[in-house]
Amino acid sequence: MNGGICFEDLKIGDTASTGKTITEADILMFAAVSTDTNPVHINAEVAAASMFGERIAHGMLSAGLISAVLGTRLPGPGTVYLGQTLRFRAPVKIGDTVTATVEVTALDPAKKRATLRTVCTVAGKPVIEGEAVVMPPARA
Amino acid sequence: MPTFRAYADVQIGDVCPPTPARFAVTQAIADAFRAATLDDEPNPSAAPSMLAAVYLIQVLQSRGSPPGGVHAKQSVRFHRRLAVGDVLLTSGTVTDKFWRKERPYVVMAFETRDAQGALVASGVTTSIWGAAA
Repeated sequence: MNGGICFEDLKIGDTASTGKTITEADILMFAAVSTDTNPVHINAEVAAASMFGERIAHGMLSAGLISAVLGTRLPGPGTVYLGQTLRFRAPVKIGDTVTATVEVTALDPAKKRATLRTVCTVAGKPVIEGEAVVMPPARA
Repeated sequence: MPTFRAYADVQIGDVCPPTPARFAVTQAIADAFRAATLDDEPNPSAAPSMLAAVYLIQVLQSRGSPPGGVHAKQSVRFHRRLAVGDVLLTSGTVTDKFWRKERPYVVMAFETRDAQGALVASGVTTSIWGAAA
């Protein structure tokens, strides 16, 4: 896809998803890129003693999947990301497959803005819930 | 050895860090973030807006929370697109603290500005304080 879906072509209920299995390499790479070296992510012994019982992925790694769906699929390239809320509901562990799904829930023709429900799930259980506001690409 | 702060020492109005945390958006970092999140954005000079929220971690680390703290929720407003080459300066202010389900929470408002002082991102983050102190 070269261009994203224009505001005029979006409909309430439109949805798109992407999925990724989280690996140890993902966590180590994300720790390096983000400088977030919280032991619950990278230290098995500390993580085992934490409330999670084992190492968990960075919440923003899963949240990044939402950003990717918005920017590459729905609405897609040309979209301006205006805002995002995130509520971290449950941890993501190594080997979990995270599915990020966005769904158009409101359209504002005056401002040409779209609101999308955003959710990341693991085995159908929400791990991150929230809402995004975007400005989709304009029709040429 | 980093110095950690007890939850009781966190005060509403605390500014962290005293000097805004600085982060340069490089091509390598934008590419790595995209690779990790399956983002195949066709414009290589654009950087994922979410990076402005990711680097909030530098502000959170500056608070002195002991290990084990985690994000609970976050809201962020993106005021402009990010680009490779941007330098981001982020600071936060503690706006609330409370206990819920026997866990200590801290709420911070944050702002990220570019090197020219223009607002890039702003929002509120709520996290659980680390338990070791």
